[in-house]
Amino acid sequence: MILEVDDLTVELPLGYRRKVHAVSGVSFSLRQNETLGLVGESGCGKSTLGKTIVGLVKPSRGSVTIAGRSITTLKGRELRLARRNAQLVFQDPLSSLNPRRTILNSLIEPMAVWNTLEPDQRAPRAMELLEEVGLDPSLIKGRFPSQLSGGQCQRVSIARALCVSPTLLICDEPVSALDVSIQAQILNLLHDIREQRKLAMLFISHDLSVVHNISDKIAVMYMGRLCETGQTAAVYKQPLHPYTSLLLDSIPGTQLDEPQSGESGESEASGPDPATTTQPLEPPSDVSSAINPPSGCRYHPRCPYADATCESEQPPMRELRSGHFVGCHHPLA
Amino acid sequence: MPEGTESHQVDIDPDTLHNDAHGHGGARARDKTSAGVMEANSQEPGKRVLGPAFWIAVGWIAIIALAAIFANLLPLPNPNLTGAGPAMAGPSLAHLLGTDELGRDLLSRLIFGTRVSLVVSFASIAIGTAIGGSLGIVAGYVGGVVDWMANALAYIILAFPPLLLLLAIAAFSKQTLPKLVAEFAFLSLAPLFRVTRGATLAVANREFVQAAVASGAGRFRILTREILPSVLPSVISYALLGVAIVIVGEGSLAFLGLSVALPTPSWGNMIAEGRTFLAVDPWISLIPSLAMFSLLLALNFSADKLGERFGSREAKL
Repeated sequence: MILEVDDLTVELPLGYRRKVHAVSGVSFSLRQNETLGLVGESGCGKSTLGKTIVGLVKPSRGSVTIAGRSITTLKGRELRLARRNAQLVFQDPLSSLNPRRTILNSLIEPMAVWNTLEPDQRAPRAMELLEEVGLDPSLIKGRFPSQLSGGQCQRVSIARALCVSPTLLICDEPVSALDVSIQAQILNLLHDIREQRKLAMLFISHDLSVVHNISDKIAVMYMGRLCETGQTAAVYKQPLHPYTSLLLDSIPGTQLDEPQSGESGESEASGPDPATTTQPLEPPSDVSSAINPPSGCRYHPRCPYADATCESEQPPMRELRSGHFVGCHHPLA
Repeated sequence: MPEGTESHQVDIDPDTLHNDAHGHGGARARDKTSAGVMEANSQEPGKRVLGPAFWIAVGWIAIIALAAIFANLLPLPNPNLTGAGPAMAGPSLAHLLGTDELGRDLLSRLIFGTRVSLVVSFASIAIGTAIGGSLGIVAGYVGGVVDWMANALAYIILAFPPLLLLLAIAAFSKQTLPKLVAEFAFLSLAPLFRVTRGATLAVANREFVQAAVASGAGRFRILTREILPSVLPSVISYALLGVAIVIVGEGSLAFLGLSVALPTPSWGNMIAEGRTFLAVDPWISLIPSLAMFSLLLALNFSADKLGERFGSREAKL
């Protein structure tokens, strides 16, 4: 296992005696050459989870282990060494690069931190990386981030992440800020790099159609908790959690079915439960928030199937089918 | 398994992978030329020039500074020599700006007087920027208790009326140049701390800083190599304004007779001395006033231009 997250809880202080329950009791693991798509709506804690995994945010409870080293207990140089195994690709392409540094120097910097190469070999290595992410090194190297397009910046960010040869790549909404025409290119690039380098990848996105194409496994997050995990095909074909079903129904059009022929007819026929398709897309009144999360199942104020049990008891994650887990008292199907 | 890992690939021609600069379609060859075009386009508006007015202002500051530094080498009479010429004479070849009520050469007094203004202002702001700036950048990045304490201290210093402090010190002891520098440096600490801290806060949580943390860079490296380059231009621009403020402050003290002791000339005490003869010979006060005015104008203008030049790149993010 490259990444093991166990009972991770992040509570961020928010002024006097208040805190945001950003991540609550999340556990999952990730193997080499495997992509986990983490989906959920804005503010559900998915970015915080990603940052906690690389050690940018301190968890209140639980542990993160990357390649056998615990990020949550190490300190100082040991922590910095362990961190190196996990690299981040951010949402905002421009902000992710130092505006006052040329592209070449941005790539050399991480190598200089660790002295991984002789100084005169760093620039050639950076050029190789630029080529690996599909950029022309001779054109790009001397430029500043403000002189590049969003897609180019994102490619440079990916190259920078690869500088320290990580085993885990965390992509936090890497294509949300890009043109649709460029999104697919970046997704393909990420996919290829994962295959070539046998990386583990955590792909965070709010967009299920984006996650669908790149992930082996899917984890659905709602208000800091995982509510469903499973193989991508299984989750998309037969969601077990009402929230997952709602998310899938919210994807406009039929874009999901296009990439796989032969699959489309079946998924449409067996599609989401009729009961869920008629439920209102927006909750009637939702006063609950991550500052004051609802009791029991956190989804119950919005759930059409909620009953007394849902209000009082937090549903445990159950394996309903092999490898397909759901945290719901009344799973669909 | 109906769809394995093979089916994840989105249907995109691999050739277009190289084609980010202009988005849609096209082969690799075309992309290289279009990227070349982009370079030509983006270089021109991207690099905003400071303009000739900026260099005139900087040149004027440089001339004044050089004159002050090399005042001893210039063919000038001793600034304190009375009766170097007829009293209150107008400009002549021997005395280019004329003489004051004691017959001292005004140009000589003006140039030697520059020394006090420049030394006090630049030295005090340099010290203030070094100390206040480093405190600000550390407090802004580290945060927590360090930030809280440094901030509280800054509030206390800011709440103290500056003129009162200067007057109190001047009332109890004789002013000397080092003492003046120390006083103004102390007064500039808090504002420079606040500006640097604010600029640091603005970049400290940016993604490129987080990426540096994730890549394993230590705190010192992040402060000096990621944050400092972004913070420095705005701090320098603010420090130049600080220099202008200190020049006025020293001038005001000198006007009140609380700066360096007479007969050492300074712009402030020259203005104060000439005040008595304003009706008879306005030149005595007017000349140092104009010198101060032009220096302040040049300082403020160049600070403004610098802020604009580097601020625009910041805003482009």
